Amino acid sequence: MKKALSFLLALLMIFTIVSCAKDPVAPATTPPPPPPADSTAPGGSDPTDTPPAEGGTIGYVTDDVDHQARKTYNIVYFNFQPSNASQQVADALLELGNVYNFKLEQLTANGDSDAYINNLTTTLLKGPDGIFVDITQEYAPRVSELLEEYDVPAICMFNKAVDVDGKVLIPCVIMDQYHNGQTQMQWMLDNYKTYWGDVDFSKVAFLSLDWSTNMDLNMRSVGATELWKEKYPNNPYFYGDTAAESFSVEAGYNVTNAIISANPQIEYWLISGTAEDYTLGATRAVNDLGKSDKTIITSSGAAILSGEWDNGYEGSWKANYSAPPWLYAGVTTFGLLALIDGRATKDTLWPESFLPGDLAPRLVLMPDMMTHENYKDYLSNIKASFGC
Amino acid sequence: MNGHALKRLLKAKEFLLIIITLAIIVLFYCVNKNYLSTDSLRGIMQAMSITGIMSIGVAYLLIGGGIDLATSLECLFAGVLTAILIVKLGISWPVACLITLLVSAFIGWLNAVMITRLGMMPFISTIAVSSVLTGVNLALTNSQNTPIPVESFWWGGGTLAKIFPVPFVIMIVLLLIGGFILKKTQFGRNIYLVGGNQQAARLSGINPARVRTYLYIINAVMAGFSGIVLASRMHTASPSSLSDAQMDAITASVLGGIAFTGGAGGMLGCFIGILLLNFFSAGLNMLALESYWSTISSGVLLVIALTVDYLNERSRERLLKTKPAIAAKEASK
Repeated sequence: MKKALSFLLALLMIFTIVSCAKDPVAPATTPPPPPPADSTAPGGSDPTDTPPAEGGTIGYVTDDVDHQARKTYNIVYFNFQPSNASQQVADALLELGNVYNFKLEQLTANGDSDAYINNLTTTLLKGPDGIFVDITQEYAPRVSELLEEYDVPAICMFNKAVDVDGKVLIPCVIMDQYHNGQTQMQWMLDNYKTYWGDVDFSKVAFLSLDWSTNMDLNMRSVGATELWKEKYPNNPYFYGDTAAESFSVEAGYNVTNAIISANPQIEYWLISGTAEDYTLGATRAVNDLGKSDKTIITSSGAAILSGEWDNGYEGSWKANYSAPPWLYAGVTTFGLLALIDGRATKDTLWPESFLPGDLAPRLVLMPDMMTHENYKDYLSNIKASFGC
Repeated sequence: MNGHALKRLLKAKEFLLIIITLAIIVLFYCVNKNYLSTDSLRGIMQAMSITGIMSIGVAYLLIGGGIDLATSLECLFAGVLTAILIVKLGISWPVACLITLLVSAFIGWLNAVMITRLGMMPFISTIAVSSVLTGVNLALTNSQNTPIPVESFWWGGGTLAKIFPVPFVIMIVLLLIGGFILKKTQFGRNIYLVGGNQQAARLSGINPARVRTYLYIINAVMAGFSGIVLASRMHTASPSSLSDAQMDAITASVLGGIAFTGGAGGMLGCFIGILLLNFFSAGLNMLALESYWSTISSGVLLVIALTVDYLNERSRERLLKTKPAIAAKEASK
């Protein structure tokens, strides 16, 4: 029995090693298609627009660079926690690699910050040409030190890589999370009549689902709540912090269910889910409580809601403030390629996004609200704007 | 009720727990009268059902002296597998659920083989399995949620008599069956014996390895079933959420008087533990407190649970030393 199991385990190990040793996706040899002339996303300004005249022109999709004329770069995407969004970014980066001549290796630390630092060291020792990092503030200084020590160009995405004083250490591509929350709230206030008609607004309350231990998610909640308080100071608002539970659909369900059922006097609800997982739970709770017609939900992200719509969903989750994974992947790619090529350094990249006191630029994405009506065009236009 | 029965009730392990649960319910009800509204109660019942179903397997395993730290991942894996079978392979949902439960049983058997045949530490080997399942879940789904657009599969969100959520009813039925097996069958008695004293169980002609194998399989099947219910309720399978569910299941079991060291406890205690935990959690959610207060409160509750467990265990040991016959009778109640 033991021998048979040992043999099976040994076979499994060999199979795993062979599978892992498989070549990453090879880049295409065809020249990259030019970016479309009109790449404006529906509903607003294009987040990948050419920078203003006083800014730089390097590190954007509009770079006039022949990426096939150089060697194929080896680039690593090392994310902290696997998620819907990070996987979609990785998929987008793989496609971009085919077009812009780089091989991608994908790594994750499975949410373990110590493992992130250790594995980053090992990865940097292998000498990649560049790296995309996805980290949070707590260990950004150490990651920055390692990148300096091994002299590997890097771009951080999703979160700011800042020191204790809030200075940006690594070039990063982020969203203005406060603006995110405010935009969600403004969208709900602008559109509630479409779904509810002319209702007595004194019967409307706001619920913000938050993950207070994450600065970015928290700022979304703060932005939405402050605008609500400013515009409707006499209307009730509720704060559903799920940080004590898990980052999950289940947590969103439980918190939403508890708060709405404890306040039956409130007839209409506006809910800002802040993250898609919670929001999905909130929509199910609202549905189970029979409140779908009297609730409007928004969130941030693209992956889950677009999947729901693709499967015929038409419930109370109406829109998302959406910087899709393709937007992150595209913008970071052109920044990193400029750094690796030596066309820019972290001091000269995206100068219009370089704030006084920072040690690197912070490029802030300003996406639009994604709705059921525009989501297919919105997502495909953003992808097309990067030549894919 | 005669004096003897009253004395027995007051001495029961579950009695203190019922009092604490009632106190918590009254406290939150005083804060907000809607805490016990139909909607709120339905939500609480809904919320407790996933952990509740999982707790049955966890409780069996703890009573039998084992532990499985991959339970949450087994639950998520089951959801993911069901979703893939339904959505990507086009298999009808009842067949998909059946296949998922069989695969779950196989995972439980693998756990058992590693622990009972190869002599691995349950803590280490089940953490390893948990790690493998984490990777498998992410690989199977490409880290994406998998929506299940099959309306007949959404029974997890339904209710009976407009108040009892279907998952809650399933949980109650499973708890009753679990309680019956534990108390009224030879297999149930064997579990207590194996958990209480493995050496003594072996000397009584019981094969502890076989009993533990069944327990790991039961635990994995229960985890798998809770994963199916979760996927049905949410209409989607998530590969990476629900990290706290197994800790909640262990906490509920220990709160309910199931000894961490095995050999004692029962389904009634487990159920009261689940009630306490969920009424408490729903109350905190209703108050919409900042997360640190919820975290502190949950931690305090866990400390209380462990203290009660320690005191129970100490009194049992004392009884074993002084009156072994009574101790054995108490343990089997």
